Amino acid sequence: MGDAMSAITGTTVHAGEVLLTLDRLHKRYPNGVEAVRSISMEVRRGEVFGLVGPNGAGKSTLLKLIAGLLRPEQGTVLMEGVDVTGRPVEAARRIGLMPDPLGVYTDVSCREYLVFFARVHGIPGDAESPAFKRVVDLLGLLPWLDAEVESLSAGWQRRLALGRMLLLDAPLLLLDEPAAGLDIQARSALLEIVRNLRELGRTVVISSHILPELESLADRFGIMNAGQWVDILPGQSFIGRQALKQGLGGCRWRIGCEAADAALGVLTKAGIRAAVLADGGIEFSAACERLASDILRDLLLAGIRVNDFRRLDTGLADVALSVLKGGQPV
Amino acid sequence: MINPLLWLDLRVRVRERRLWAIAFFFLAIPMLITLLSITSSLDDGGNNEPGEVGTLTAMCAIFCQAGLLVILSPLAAAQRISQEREQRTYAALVNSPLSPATIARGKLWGAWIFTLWLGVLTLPFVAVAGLWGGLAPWVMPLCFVLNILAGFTLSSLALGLSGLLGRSMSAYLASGALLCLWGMAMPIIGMLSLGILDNGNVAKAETKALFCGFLLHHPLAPQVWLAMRGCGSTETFTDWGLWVPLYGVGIWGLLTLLGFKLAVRGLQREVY
Repeated sequence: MGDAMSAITGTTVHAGEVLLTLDRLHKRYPNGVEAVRSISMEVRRGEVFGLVGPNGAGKSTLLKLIAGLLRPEQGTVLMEGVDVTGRPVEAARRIGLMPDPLGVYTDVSCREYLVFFARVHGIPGDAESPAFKRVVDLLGLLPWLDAEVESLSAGWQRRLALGRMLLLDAPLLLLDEPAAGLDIQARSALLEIVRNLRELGRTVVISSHILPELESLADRFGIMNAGQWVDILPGQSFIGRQALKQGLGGCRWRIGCEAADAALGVLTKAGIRAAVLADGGIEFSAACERLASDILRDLLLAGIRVNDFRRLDTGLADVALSVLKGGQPV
Repeated sequence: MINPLLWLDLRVRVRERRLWAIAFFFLAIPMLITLLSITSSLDDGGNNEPGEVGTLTAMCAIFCQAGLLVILSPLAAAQRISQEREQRTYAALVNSPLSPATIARGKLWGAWIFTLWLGVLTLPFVAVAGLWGGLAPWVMPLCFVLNILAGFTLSSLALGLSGLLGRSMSAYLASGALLCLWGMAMPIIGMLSLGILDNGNVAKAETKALFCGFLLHHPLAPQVWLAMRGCGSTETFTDWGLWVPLYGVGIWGLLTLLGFKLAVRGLQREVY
């Protein structure tokens, strides 16, 4: 798979170079809804950027604006320094979009589908061409080439759509909910392909509701709500995967004990803000492990029988939920 | 390289079963009408000359072909762009290096090839009619060409409506309304207006203006002129000269261009 990927991603990767720049993009739909409000961002070459947000946050609109399918009222989209704002033909030479929902042609086989899009992109439309074969090998489409696209499962249809984009060999891929409606196996297979693209330096902007998988895939995240970026940390709209793993507001811990009120008293005395959970457990944040161990010692010295004491991982879902509620990251 | 959309269209249409059903009915109608016209001519006491039988049969075949092409061509073209929106393939199509004009051209060629295919299917009936003689030999091929051009014009207009309206049902309804307005309402209004005037003086300016305005713009007016001219009719209409069909075809050309421009404009719209 690796060789096939290398051949497909033939473009030279200059990690760190800014590939995509969005400058104060603003989009209002004819019905008056402001779907995107002054969105600015930069995506670097070789990066996978994760777009997170509730339904109606403006993620799909933002991706369509980048692909030139929508024209913003204000702002610009620069791709490799070229202004592609509202210019789908110009954008299409550099950007591949997998929209959601994904439409398929009826009465067309997978082979015809790929050959058609190869012809659309000016690639020799021969099913025997090296580019075609590499995409088919990469995506495992060989057994399905003569099957009608319509008859494929949602997972295979998405693979096929990805094949269309890989044929194009665009430097930037926009994936709008690529795993929506897929079963665990299909989702895992599709995300594995995207992961390989990331390892080989392809630049991907991906929006997804499946946050644990997005978390393992993306290098940076931005959370959108009501058409705007939500600050994840004060004054900071984006967060890296590593920073997310290390815990944004300190590490979270959980204590299980019978005397919850007494334990809460010990924590308050130590100046720690804690919350009692529905199951009687207590959750708190500690800036470092040393502080957590001091708290455990205090609890034991206070005669409280502790039957559970563990560190909780901070996930993207926790962070997203927390900041969307208007609070600081957990 | 062949336009990719035309390439896809040809592959898909060939496999489409409905298309062959349409072709069957399309052929059955002119066949029936041709047979009926031949039978009725021959049954007329046996007094008809072969030329008369031929003229009647040829007229039936030509105008039956024209009617079917004028009705079916726009209906087949009316969903070509809107279907892309409805089946959600539109975003992928627009997110490609193909310009809206290239996409519209591919779609238009597909619609025109369908029209041409329907026209060619009926050629045997027209040819059988020609065997009886009666009409001048140049009338039949010219009428065939005009029929095809009328079909092209209406296809183009329907494609424009398809691009502009975005929904197949709306495009069908709008194409049907256009067809009714152009093919039926305009001549009816024209005939009624002429009837109200009822002065029988076709040389009068207002009568001429009504005739030109309502009847000469009809999608079948050039064929009518040609067929009347071909069978030696001496009606005033046929004396107006070659400018009648040329004017008609000129109008069709402009309408074809309008349809194409509408389709391109529709394809330039945002993809929500």
